[in-house]
Amino acid sequence: MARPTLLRGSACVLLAIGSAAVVGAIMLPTYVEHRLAVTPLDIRTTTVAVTDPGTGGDVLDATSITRPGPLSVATGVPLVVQRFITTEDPSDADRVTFQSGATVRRADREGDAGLLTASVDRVTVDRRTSQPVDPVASLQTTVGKPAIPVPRTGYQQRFPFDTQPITYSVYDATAWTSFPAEFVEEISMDGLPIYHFRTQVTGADLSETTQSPINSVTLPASKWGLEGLGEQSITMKRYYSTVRDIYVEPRSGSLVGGREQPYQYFARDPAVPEVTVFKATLGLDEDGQKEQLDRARESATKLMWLTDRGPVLLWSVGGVGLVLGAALLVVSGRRSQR
Amino acid sequence: MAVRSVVVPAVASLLVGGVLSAGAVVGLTWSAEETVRPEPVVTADPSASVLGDVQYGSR
Repeated sequence: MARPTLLRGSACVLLAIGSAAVVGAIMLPTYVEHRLAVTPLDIRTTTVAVTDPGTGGDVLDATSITRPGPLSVATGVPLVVQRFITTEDPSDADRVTFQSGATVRRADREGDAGLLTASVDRVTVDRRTSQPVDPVASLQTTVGKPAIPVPRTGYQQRFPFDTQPITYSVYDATAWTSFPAEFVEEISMDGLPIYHFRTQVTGADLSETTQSPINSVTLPASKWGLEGLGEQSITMKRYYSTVRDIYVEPRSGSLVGGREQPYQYFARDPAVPEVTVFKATLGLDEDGQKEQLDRARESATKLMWLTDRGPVLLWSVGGVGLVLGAALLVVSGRRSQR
Repeated sequence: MAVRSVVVPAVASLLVGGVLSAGAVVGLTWSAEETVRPEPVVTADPSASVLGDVQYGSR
């Protein structure tokens, strides 16, 4: 039979273990999660969105503006939208600055001949809420010209931690403003629960939200391809419509996939498109989607240990340790009284 | 006396376990926290970038 001192010693060890586990179980969601469940500062990722093989998109041929004859639109053009996202300064314990260098290229032309647009977008967000904070976001779209401030409010590179199945405001890099992204459904990607959101924009007047020399263009009617109006000057504005599907891993707020149908066009009436500027259906390529999914899975697993599994495990260990320790202590007390 | 010989070590054990655990959690959290952006490894020629010093990725 064990001696009372040995029993008491074992009881004390169990009580200490139980107490340690309970303190850990309390601190994981209340202290550790607040400190560690933040956007990382070492993000350096490339995403590539492409048109479906064999489909391509429609692109206004910029050279046709100066050429004789009406504007021409190239159809069935394979397109690649590439974004290189890095973290930049200012970044610290509370905020992180994302820089996104984006190009839109024709895949059927080499080098600069295939480049349609390039831009550099910078936004600083809160590392916990993912909401934009100071300094104000900026955008550079022209070589040799400085970036211009483009204040914004919506989510951009990521959604908040613990994303809910509700409507969020999401920044649109084409319209330089935010639009609502409505929750559509919960799906599963490789066994990971994913929230599907959708943004729909119809006939947005880009001259109201962006700065561009082609937001409002005046050309002879014949140049626009309008018949019966001769050389009469016609002014058209640039409008924008899109349907954007966004896929989010809800625990980490990571974007794991996306598909969009941007459509920019010149028109006198936004409901009646007349000349296409850019029209395509673009989706993340397979490599990109797999990378995003793997990263999201890793983040979700870590968060699960911080908020669910870790505390449950520690509460269990703590409870068992405290109960067994108390029981042994009572037994040792009774034996020492004999 | 008997009660005291049980309660004192029990309370001491609970305190020691709790304090050590809190210290360990704070220390581990502090060491795992990321408060400074790591210097990126340059993988491309900045002079070849489209808008100056910005790179566009390699894929």
